[in-house]
Amino acid sequence: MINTELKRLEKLEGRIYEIAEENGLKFCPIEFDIVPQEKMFEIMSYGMPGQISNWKFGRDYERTRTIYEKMGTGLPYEVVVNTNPSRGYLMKDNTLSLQVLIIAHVVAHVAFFTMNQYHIDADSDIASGLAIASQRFEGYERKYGIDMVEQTIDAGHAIMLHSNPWLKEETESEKLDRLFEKMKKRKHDKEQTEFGDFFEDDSKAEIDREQWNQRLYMTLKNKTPVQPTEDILRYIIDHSRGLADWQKDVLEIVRQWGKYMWPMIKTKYMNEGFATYWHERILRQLFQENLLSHDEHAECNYTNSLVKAKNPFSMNPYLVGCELWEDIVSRWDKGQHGNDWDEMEDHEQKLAFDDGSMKGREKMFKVLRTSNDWMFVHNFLTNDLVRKLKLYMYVKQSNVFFEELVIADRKADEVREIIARSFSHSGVPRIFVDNGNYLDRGELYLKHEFIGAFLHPEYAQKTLEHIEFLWNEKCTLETVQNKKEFKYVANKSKNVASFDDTEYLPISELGSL
Amino acid sequence: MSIVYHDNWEIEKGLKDATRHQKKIDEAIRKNVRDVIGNEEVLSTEKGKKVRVRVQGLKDYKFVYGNKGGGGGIGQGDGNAGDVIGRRPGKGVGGKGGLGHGEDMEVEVDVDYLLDVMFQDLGLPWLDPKKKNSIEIPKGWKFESISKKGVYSRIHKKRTMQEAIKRNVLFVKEIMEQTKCSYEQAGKALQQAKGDIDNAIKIIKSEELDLSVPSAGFLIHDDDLRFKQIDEDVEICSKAVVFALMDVSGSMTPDKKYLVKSLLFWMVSWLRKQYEMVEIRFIQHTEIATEVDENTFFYGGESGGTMASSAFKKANYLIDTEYPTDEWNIYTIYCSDGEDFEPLTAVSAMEDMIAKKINMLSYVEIKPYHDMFDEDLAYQYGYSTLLPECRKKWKFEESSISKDGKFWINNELHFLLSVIKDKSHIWPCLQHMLGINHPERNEK
Repeated sequence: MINTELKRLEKLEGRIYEIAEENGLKFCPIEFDIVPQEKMFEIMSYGMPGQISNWKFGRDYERTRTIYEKMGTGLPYEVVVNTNPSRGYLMKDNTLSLQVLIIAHVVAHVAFFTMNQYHIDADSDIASGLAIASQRFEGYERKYGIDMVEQTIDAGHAIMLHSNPWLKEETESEKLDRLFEKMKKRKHDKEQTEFGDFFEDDSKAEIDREQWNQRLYMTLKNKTPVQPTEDILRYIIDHSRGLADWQKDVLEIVRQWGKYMWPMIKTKYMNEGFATYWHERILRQLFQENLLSHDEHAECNYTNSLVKAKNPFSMNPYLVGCELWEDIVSRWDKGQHGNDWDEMEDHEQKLAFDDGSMKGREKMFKVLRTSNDWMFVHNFLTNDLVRKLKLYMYVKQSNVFFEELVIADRKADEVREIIARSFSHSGVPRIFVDNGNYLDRGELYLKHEFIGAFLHPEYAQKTLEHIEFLWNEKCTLETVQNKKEFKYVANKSKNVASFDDTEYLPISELGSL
Repeated sequence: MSIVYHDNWEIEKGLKDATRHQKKIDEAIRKNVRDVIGNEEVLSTEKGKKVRVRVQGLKDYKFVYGNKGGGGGIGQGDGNAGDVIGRRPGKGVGGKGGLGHGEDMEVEVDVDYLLDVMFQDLGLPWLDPKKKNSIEIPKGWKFESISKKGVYSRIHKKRTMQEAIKRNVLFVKEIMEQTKCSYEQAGKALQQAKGDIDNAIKIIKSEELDLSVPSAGFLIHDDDLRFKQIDEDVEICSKAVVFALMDVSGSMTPDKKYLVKSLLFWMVSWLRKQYEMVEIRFIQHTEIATEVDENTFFYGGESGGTMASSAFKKANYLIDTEYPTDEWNIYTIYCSDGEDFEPLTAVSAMEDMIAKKINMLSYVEIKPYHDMFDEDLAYQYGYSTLLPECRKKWKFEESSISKDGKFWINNELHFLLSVIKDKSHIWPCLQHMLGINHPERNEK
């Protein structure tokens, strides 16, 4: 990159920060690195510099490179890492206008991280933690063999999203104390309870209460986990009898990575939409201030249209997210919300309504602070928007000759419903550790919270086998399959689940790879 | 708030992990080799050494929602309900349904690599080279051996110098040991004594060493001289011929021919790894046999009766006239659907062929019927005439190695009878064809 160009980019960068701040975006300091393309692909595939080594990242790296070779230059590759200071990566061979677009986009991302409540607790030091761990893991590979390390990482990756990063972390004994305090019988205080005088406190009641409490304590103490826990990895790390210390170390790091990823996944549409919304505006202003030439702005617009292209097979978060924000701002600017507006009968009149309240920006930041994708889509994806974005549902139909993808439904309210449902818990099934000493045999018993959709059988079975590798005892997963209660079982001696429905292939067939 | 620009970025893990992924893909191919070899795409690259095969991408397993059909979702764009937005070829009859998750990926693989994988998986050690018939072809002259005597024009300078250096170093060491002098002194003494070690020791002991003698350089003794020897160069060439015999009467449909082609492709590829030279002769027959080229063999078609004997006779004639068995390894594969008019004549022609001590005779009956495994039915309806005659004539052991297809083996005669039905039977059939040649398998 030529020095003068770098100077100009720095100047634009400075102005971008100013524009962002003028518009009410708050963000932590950002450091940009200009990297060669190969390095860019690596960071993109690994999600973060310093990431631990694993074949999956290698596969993605290879894939990204191949796509780049096929598609050529000009694609707006961006990576932003949510640390403090945040890091953004720019690809060396990009044109200046592309760099400017990406800087504007990244600034909005960082503002999102800084302001959205789901990102507030993010580990700001995760990059260096990973980098140090990854050196340690290289040692493990030499000492215990790459296969063992890989198997542990793979198993960890399989369940890394099964946690709740927003709950206070408690050890099992802390949880026991908390639950006991909550559930134990207390001596009733006459002054405090309205009907206190009903409970004549005598010595017999005292003894009963003591006994009851003791029983309660023992019952809780014998339960493991004390309360069903969503944090499968935490529970396994703390209670598995088959894990070596180095494996626990590996799993802790994977779990941290999962905790970092969770908020990203939970706010993907909001986040990408927000960044797109703002890079459009920032670029427009730079152009108006004559900081970008006509050609450069045109190039930005062209790239922007690629970013926001409609995809026939999936929803584009950049487009859908951005349109949602646009819609929110425009509706709250005009006061098109609330009961009165909802109940207007004439559709034309509804769309034309404008009370000039100009609350759009305010609403935007309110939603930004408190929402995640599920709320975002649930509250703000209207039928009008479904129609405007031309969203539809499609299904796969296959016969001997073809596999066809066919549009099945585009009725706005039905499509809206399906989309909203798919965002529930970000599409991650909720699985709880129910019992870590099932049948008093040290087996692990997991329960899936069934919400209407079935687990993918092959994936469920294979994931359970990953868990079993870590738990080192038989593992069972209770769920509903084909409208019947169903148990997946992973056991080293017998890894095949017995499906009572012959429509499924036996697992050994399914996992032919 | 800054933009940092420098050039020393290193790829830390990408390449290592990409290699690791590739290794896992290789393992996947290894496990799937059975599916891969029945693949049309493999056969369509006839000459090339590389084939593109589809393997399922490795999956990141986690708990996900998904129904049996998979593959549905939300999309964006124009179109009405019922419109097709995407289409790709189906998996064909009997193929496994897609699961939606995990992408298929195309991988380029060496045919050689596939073969290696296949035969490693078979657990077959390579054929005993002694069993190969081979001939020596003169290739001219070569310098290969080295001797101590020869003419000076063919002196091997490098080897001679090596010998000289070796000897000098040894002498110097010996002198140092015997006289406890320094390295330099020993070298000079040896120089002064013109290479004679006894004299050199004497010189040092009597303190006659002339220190002005330059110590550099080695003396080349007659013993050090080495000469190149000229030899006659021969190439040991092992040769094999495959007789591909096929019934082309009307009942041999393209489906059946596809199986034949697939079988021959792998058989010949494997033989090419074993022998320097492999020829294939294609003989098709109805009531009479004709030799044809590959294209006609697989894509032509004729109508008429079926007399396998004609094809065997033709092959026998070729063996007698062109492929003497002491020079050639002979493999015969006969493919038919078994409806022979004169099975007894065919059996006697087969007998003639076996008597010539060929490496393998394989009879492949292709029966894409559902009742093919029911032997009673087969006899009852009598659609196979040749196979029962063969089993009457020779003694066969029924193979229990594979449940796909039916196989009878006579290890002594290197004779295999097989009945196969579809693509998935090609692998077991090859297993048997190659196994029959192997002494260890024979002992079992």
